[in-house]
Amino acid sequence: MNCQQFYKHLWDYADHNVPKSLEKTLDKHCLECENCARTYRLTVVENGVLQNKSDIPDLAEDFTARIMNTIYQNHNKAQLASLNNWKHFVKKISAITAPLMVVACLLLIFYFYGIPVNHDNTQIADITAESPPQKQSAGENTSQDIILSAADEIKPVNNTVPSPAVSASASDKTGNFRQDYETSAADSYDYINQTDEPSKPEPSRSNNSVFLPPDFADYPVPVNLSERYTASQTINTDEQELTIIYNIAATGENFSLQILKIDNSSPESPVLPEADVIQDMDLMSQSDINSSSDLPVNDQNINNRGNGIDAGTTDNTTNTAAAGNGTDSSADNPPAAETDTADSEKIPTADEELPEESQSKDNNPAAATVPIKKPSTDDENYEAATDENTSADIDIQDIQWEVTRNQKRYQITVSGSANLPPSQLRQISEEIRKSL
Amino acid sequence: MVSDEVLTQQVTRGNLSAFEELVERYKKLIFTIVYRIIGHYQEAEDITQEVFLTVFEKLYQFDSGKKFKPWIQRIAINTTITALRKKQKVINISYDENLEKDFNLNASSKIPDPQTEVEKQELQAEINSALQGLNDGYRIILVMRYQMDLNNSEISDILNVSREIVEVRLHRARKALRKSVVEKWTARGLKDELPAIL
Repeated sequence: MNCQQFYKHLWDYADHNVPKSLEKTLDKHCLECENCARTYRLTVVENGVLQNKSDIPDLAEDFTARIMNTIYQNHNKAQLASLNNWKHFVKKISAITAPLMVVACLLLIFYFYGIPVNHDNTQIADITAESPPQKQSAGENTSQDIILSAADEIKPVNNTVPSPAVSASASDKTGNFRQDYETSAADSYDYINQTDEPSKPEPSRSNNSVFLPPDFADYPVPVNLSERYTASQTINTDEQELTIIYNIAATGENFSLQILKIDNSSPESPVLPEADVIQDMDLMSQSDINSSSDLPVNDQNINNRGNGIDAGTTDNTTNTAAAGNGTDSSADNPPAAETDTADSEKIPTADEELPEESQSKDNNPAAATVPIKKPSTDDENYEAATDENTSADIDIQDIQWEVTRNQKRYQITVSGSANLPPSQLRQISEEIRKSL
Repeated sequence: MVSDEVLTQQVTRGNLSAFEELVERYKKLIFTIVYRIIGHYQEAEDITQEVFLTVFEKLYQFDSGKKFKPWIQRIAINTTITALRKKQKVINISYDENLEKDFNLNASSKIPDPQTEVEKQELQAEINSALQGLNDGYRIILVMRYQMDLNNSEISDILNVSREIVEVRLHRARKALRKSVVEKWTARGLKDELPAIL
């Protein structure tokens, strides 16, 4: 063995990690080579230094206890952390759910105590969407458009007036209010508001209040009227006239209240609405107004006519002739005929539609009952809505008086259908008179 | 005596006293490894504590079918290396305190005289200085080989390298230590001369 071979096995030899035979050979070489022997001894010294563990100080006696305490603390912290996480989670959930619960409670309160939200407007949109397409001229804003726009804008509505569909159906019950629903032009300033179902009036609400247009603020309108009467519709054709349609909750019957401003210059002859305007006042016939204008006007003068008048809105000419003094007939009344020609495209004249039987009664004021006619052939909705009443005869009765308010005179006319007993109409009129 | 692996299973079931037993068994070994690498008592103790806490946290990862000792030694080495990298600590391995009593020169049975004692101390200083000059890899593998008394296979398991790589590294570490010692000895004007004690 030479020195190079010795160096190859030097560290293993110093570690006693060589076979016995090789170890003997290496021992022999160390004895023969002093340089390799010294190198070997240096290696052994190095190993002794590297393997020396005596200088390693002892750990503290409480080392294990400290470790275990740390572990226990960390364990408890972990448990507390998990607990805190749970508490934090609960807090988060509470922070989220609490406002939702409040909102839910408010919604429930609103729902059960009748504070309407968008619910009513949604109903309006739905109802009006189902309403029939109405015949209208270009540029006119119908009541349906007004309702739809109101539903789109979701404006707060007056809750005291039934929805237009309800009022329309109530009007169709007497066969009179179709035109109110149909011909609310922009210049008619038709306020149609809606409310919940009138069949279930809520005691907490005042259903008989009236939303007045600005020009009619000083008009004498009933206040604190009995809740048995619900103002379903307010119609004003011009600044001189205001008509309020009331619905009687108990019976479903309607009556109208017309407030007509009387020209002070001619106190004995109130300003009468034009013929086409009267079409909107279906419970009142122009002839009735004409005849009532001839009567002495005072609070005590209650003129219960009780005569049958055509409930159809298109037969004003006939009604005028029929409810008059009996001196005019439809054929002999050119001015009235000219008035009707304004709406002749939409509304057929009575001469064309009325049967002979009815026309034969025109000359008889006592026989003023006229069957309801279909005013328009293409108005299928009207036909369906008035299907129940097509064969019914509807009479109109009026009670009229005059009041003075702010040095202005107003003629008050309460009209009811024949289904409304005269005594009840009289009672209603008295109640209105007291509330003015 | 319950084996280490059984104790680890008990610890994973929530028996903390079993972990206390493991700490008692391995705290000296782990502290020795750390102290040899770090060279500072307090830091070594802190790192040793950190080693056991890491063992406790990662005990669920331990495969009870394998030996626990290499696993905890590997954690000790890795934790110490991480601590070294964090602190950029210059390792000062101190062999000065008790080197004399254990300095066993197997090849020399002579009775040391005063000159020999001086030369011995000088040699110890040179070896310590050479060790301090070694890089971390050489120093760690020398500690594992001679302080932890691990064979090459065990070192390869701990360092997760092949046995051949361990042998090569260990050989290079010894050569580097020898080269450093000789250079220092030569620098003192004793070129080509080994200490007389050898």
